[in-house]
Amino acid sequence: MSIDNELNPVLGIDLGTTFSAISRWDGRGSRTYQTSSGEDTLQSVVYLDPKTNELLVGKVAYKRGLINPENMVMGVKRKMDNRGEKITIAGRTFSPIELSAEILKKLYRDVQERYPKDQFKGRGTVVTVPYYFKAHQCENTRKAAELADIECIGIIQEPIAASLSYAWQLVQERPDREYEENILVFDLGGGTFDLTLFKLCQTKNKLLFEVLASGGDDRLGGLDFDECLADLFLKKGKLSLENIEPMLYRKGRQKLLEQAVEAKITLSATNQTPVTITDVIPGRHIDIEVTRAEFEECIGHYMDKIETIVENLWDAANMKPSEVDRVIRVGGSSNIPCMKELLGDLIGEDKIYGNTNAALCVAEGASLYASYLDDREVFGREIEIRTRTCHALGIEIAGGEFYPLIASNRKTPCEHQQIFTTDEDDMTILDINIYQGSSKMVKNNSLIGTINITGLPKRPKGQLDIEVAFRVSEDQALSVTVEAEGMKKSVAVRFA
Amino acid sequence: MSENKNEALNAPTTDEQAIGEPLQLLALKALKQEEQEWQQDHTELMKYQATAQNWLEKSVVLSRGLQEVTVQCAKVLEKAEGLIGEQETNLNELIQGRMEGLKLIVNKMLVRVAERSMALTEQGEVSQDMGRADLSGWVVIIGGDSDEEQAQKNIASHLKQAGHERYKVVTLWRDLAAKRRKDFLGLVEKQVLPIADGIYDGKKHLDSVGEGPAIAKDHASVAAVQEELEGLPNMAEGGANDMLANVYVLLGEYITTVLTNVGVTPISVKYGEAMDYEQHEPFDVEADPSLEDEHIKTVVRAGYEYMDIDTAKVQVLRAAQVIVVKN
Repeated sequence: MSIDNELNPVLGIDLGTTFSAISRWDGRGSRTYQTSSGEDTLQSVVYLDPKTNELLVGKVAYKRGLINPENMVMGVKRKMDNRGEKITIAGRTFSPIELSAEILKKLYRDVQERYPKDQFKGRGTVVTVPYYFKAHQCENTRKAAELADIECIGIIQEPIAASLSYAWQLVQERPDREYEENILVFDLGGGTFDLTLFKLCQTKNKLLFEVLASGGDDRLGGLDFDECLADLFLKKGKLSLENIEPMLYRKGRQKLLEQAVEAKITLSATNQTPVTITDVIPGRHIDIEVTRAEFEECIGHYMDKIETIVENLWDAANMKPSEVDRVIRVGGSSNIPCMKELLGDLIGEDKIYGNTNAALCVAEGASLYASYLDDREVFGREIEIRTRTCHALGIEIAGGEFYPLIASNRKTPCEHQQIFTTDEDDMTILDINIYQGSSKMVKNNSLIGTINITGLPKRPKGQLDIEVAFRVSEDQALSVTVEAEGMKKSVAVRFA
Repeated sequence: MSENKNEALNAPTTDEQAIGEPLQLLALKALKQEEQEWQQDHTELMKYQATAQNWLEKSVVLSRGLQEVTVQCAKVLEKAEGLIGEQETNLNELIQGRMEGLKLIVNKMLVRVAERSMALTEQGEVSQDMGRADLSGWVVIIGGDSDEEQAQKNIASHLKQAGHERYKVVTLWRDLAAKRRKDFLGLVEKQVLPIADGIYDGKKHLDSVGEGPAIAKDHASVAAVQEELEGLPNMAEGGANDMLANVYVLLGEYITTVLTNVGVTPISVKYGEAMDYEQHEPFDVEADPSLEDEHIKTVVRAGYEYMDIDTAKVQVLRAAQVIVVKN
């Protein structure tokens, strides 16, 4: 069994787009460390002070960035997919890896500072990545950890991390039982919505996580619901913030949004709540009752979007909702009753797992995975994670069309070959552009690489066979091989 | 079982005189090992119980304070309302708006938060049973007929199981302490501070707009109210505006006292002071050649800090929102 040592523990880090968290696995359970300002999470914001050249991270960075936004960067994680990306703040240029390293450093340092100097050192740390991260993005995350002087012993996908404590509980309760369960991770955070459906298979020797399908919307979350509710307050209170000076507008909006968050939480437990806000604009107040039904109606169009994404998931997985054995909710907004009802109606209320902290279960699961990597006997068996492709991969053909060779949601590793030909006479040079995406036209997809072929034998159009082979490895790395009349060229493509 | 009583824990009985057989020696060794692990968990349990109790006590003080202040504020409002009602039937829009705001603050926001705070004072039933086997219990666990290898397996299995059971209890208390902390701070920040903000904004509005009240002064009745409403200075000198301004001051003092009694205090912010980004949050920027960049020009919303009993450190509950100079 893994021996816990408070000064030398295994750690898990949820490196989030907007917030990050760090947890420790103590051998029997996980504990999340609070930041130096007493909070469970750290804002993933970096600020460069041009006077001192000091990099600040967290809430202080965010506050300073409100005055000098040119010195601040938010959402670094979204930029981890571009290897050439350079981010300039306060005149200095950084890579996303360097800035992510600053966030990791701050999380780690806050823990270190809880103990006497030089006494704390993590034995090994696992950092989480979104399910859709490709191999090089995972590698970039690992590099960020190294740069932060954190011993990164592994990377794990967020939905798998979120469900690990559930798997742990099953292993504790039924160590000898062999079973399969289909698990849906429903992650509705502040700004993003992610769905992951996977099979958890426990055998005597293995705990297998096999992703069956995934979906989501990276522009949908609880913040949208707050805005809807704030607008509902104005409507019911017969107030308008139009045509007032900007300062009063911002102050009024702030009051509305703060109370919207409160009302949203209250409406998770009750059917109606009073809302009283004085001086929304000076001298004008709101004093109303809001019902859960009104709240649900005002976020109706977002609910429709969520339902469509959930429906698409069943198609992608070729599975019925009733075949799901367990739902794990992640993110604060997954606690909203209509989300629970949606899942309850589709899958069954009794299948919704309640014994998890929606805000922290990703970091906590990562610490559990770190414990496993530190001591493979923790679960009494090996853990294996199998994933799928998130986007279709293919090449550009005549007319700017996209020809997919690997469909989205394919099990990895996978491969596919296809014979193409030339569309002009005597072509000796050919550029094969490789794209990822779902549009029929390449202009709407992402160019991820180009293979340049020279010295082709001259042939009339349509007479030269060009075989293109795509192979995606288990860790989502794509290699492309092109062969034409004995000429062969291979390239490992980074999804950028 | 009450959360503050630990004497119900099972005390092991050690009878070393009776040890002699190999299995009994194993039992004694297991007993000592469990004792050691139990002590560690028990120490942790005590820590979380103390923290949970501290937050509960704070919540009780807060709730009592809110109940009392609700009554006090209602009296102030009743008097003020009566006074205005006696004096004028045709109130101007400013006074009407301010009275309406005060009624919402006192009769709705304050009443609700006082009610909700009562939920924070419930003790609840949380198990603290961290039992452990005595020597005879270990002999039974090991199994009289077992060989040593089997005995070792039985010991390891029981130690693991008992450890998990103890951990569940520790976790319950850890979670309870965290919940009480979160609930207390959440109630203060999200429901009490908006009342303080309402009072601050109301007075600010009155000060900025109010000139020449629309009601006649009645020194006799104003003075009477002044006497009854302790601490309202200069009531007799002004009309409805002054009286309302004083009502705001009084209500503000009541709320501040409730907060101070639970260790929540306003963050001091001075004009022209340099920004401290832990305590201050920029709401907007303005140019002002008389002040240096990143210095404070105006406070838009007061900030508060609290004594965190978990870490014995003063932490910011809500940063003060300010307008910062940027030339």
